[in-house]
Amino acid sequence: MSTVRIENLEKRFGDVEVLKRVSLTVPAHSLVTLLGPSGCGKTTLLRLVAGLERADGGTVAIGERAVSDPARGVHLPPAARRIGMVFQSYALWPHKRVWENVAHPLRVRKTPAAELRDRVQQALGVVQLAQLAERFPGELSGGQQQRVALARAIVYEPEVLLLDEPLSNLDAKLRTEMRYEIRELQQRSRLTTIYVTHDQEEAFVISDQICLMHGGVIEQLGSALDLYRTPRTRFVADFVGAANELPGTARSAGTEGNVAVAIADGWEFTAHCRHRFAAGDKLWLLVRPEDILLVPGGGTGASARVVQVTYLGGISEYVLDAGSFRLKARELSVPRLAAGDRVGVNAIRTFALPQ
Amino acid sequence: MNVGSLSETRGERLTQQAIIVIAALLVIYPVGWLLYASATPGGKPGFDAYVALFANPELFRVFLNSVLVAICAALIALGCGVPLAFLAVRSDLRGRSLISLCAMVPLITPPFIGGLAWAVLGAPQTGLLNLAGKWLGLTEPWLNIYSLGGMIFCLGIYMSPYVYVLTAGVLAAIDPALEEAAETSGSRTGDVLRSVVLPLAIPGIGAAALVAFLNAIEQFGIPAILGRPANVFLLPTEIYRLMGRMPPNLAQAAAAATLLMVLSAIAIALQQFLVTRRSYVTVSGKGFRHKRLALGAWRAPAYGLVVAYALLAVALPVLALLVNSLLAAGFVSLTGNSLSFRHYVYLWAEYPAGLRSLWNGALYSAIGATAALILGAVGAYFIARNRGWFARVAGMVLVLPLALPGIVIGTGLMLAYIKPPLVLYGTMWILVVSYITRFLPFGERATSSALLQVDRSLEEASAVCGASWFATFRWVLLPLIRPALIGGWLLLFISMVRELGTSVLLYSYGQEVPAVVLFDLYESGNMGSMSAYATILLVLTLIIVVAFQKFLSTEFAPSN
Repeated sequence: MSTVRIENLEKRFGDVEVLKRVSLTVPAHSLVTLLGPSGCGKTTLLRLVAGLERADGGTVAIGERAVSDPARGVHLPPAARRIGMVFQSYALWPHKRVWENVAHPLRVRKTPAAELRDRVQQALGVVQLAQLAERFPGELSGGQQQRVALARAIVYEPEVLLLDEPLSNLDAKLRTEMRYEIRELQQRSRLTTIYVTHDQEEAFVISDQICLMHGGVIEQLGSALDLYRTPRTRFVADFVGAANELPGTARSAGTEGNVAVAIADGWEFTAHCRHRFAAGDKLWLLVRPEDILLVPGGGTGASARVVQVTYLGGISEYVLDAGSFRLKARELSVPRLAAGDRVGVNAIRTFALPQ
Repeated sequence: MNVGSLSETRGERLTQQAIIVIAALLVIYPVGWLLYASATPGGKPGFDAYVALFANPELFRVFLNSVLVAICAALIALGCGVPLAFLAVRSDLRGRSLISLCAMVPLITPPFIGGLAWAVLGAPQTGLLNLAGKWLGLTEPWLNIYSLGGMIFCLGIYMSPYVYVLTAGVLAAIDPALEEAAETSGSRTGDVLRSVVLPLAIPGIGAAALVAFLNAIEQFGIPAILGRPANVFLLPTEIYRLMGRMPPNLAQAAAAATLLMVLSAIAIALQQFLVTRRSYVTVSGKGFRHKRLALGAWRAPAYGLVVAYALLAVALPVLALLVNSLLAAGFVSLTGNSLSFRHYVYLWAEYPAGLRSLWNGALYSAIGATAALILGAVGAYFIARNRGWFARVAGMVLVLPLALPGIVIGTGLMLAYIKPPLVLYGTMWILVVSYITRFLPFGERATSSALLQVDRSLEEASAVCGASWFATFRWVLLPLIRPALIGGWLLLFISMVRELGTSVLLYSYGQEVPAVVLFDLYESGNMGSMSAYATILLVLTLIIVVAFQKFLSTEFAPSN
């Protein structure tokens, strides 16, 4: 198993810069998800690692081998990169039976017949499809096709497993099941894996680390908890879960981890931060809806009026009018407030970003 | 309950059905006469004519030659069409977009005119290429186009565009992820082509080869021009000979025509089987971005193929006709030539059928194209929006003429309309009817492919608003499919203006059409005037093609 090292990787399609000097290390045995909206460059990054596209600059190394380094004229074809890949459309060869689809990577590597048989059987066993080996892909359901694609990608024990939105063509229920299955498979096989998705929940379930991309650059690399609790940018805060974003000012020079913040209507908070603020700096105050604590009846501090109440099943969501701005709050309960009620507002945890 | 009749009144529905019945009669009536004539040799029922096809060594030879020529021509068409399609769709060859003009070749040089041009180029004594050989010091003519080989070569060249278009469609429709999956699995380029691209494309390429076979076996022009001087007859020319005898051997001609029809039907059935049952590639109109294969050392041979094809199929033939038409003698001589417009003047001023034939061709084809389009369009609409046996049978009847070579339709129409109850022979209407019958499927196809792209809900929305079926058709459907209909009409018109196979059997004095005049000028050895007339025809067609390119291109590239 190998570490994947990506350094200053660049890719242009005509005049459009799709990747702008992206660097990322995927440690051996770990699963890193490339997460982001469509057009952020995540799929291009994956295809560059696979060798399906040619990079314009930077390097990609799998283990000790440089597989792409245009400055030195290095570009290994996909076949020489020892990778396994699952495509969004599965890309099963419709003219070959399941068995032959899975056997193909072994056949092109001239694996001896006995070993080939064992390996294919084992791979089909792992995805629980041994009984369907003689079917054609057209005779399988979407979920089964997905498993065949997975078996084909892992059958010869590649150094890196690449998955390009593998679950996006499945229905919602199957999609949630398959997330856990893929994660389990990865943990058991300890394959170094890069997984592309635009689904935040999927990324949270499956990843060791999430690499959030936007506009051809990496916005933040970290665990699900990092991204959610200490986002580096407003984009991260916004893309990962919901957040109230309020303009504010630093009241005094903060320390490394905290800053006192004033926002409109004289509200004040002590916010977490990564940035060192000077007194008077403009900033964004981010508050997760579930971090807002509501005190029925008003209380002594900041207060607001409930404008809208929505029950989401298990969760109640309130829209609050604080005078010059609005807030979203969530509680894990049935609604205990009604539109028109006045409530006191406290925040358990807030986070400040420079403006 | 029939959902298709959403907003149709009984009357509207009856009108549609009546139109389809008319279309069906156009096709079935002559075929019926053909079968009847073939089974009543000498006026008495019997199968002697069929037996003779196989028992008479001369006739059997014709049958074998036909099949042999068509198979070899299809193989040549594969040899040219498949590599050209690959280069155009999948290679990094520079200027590859020009290769797609290959699809236009039949519009510029149809097989029949190509055949005439190749007679100018490859005749043993006077052919331009043989003169060139002589000039270079060869003592013997090196090329004899009047031969079995000459016919195979010419048919192969002019069938290649069919293979090109169909193969390019299949290659473009393969999901690139299937190939990428093979690459990431460890396959090198050659292996990807062999184990993924080829197996996926084979059914489509096979179907393309059958289309080439079908078109080759039903060609009348090339065997008539290149085979008869060498006394080599194929089924179409043999039928023509049997019909032209005094007295004509109608039963034998009809039996030979039936055999030709059966061969065509077999090719179509096989082709349909390949397309619907064996093909994994559905041409979806979804645009894929394929990786282009670096040709490397293959670049030079690739250019060679493209240039050679352009030379052989278009450049040399057109040049030969043009040069010939401008020489006073009507052919090139090694001892000296003088330029002159006398052949053009002759056609304009002296040759009685010259101008008349252009006018006739335009008139008959305009009427024929309009009628075929209306019949085809109504039929296609009815078939697309209805289920049940009537629609299914109508669908089959409307495309039946695809299995009917021109000479077969000509024979059937001759038998059907020469005697009561319907005597059309001797009037222009037999030509118009023959064009409608022969090209009915073109009209159907132009409409049905356009209709497939119009969602049913658009019509339903109109119906819900209270529009009648006719109002919906007029105000919703027609504007949506108009470009396809215009393209279809032009294709019908061009095909009809140059139709030879049925015209040559059915025309009478005063009703000459362009192809017949060309054929006559060639038969009488007037090569200069023939070349001039062919050049005029080429220029006129080219003007139409260029002027209406926008509409014609929809025929070749399905729009989204």
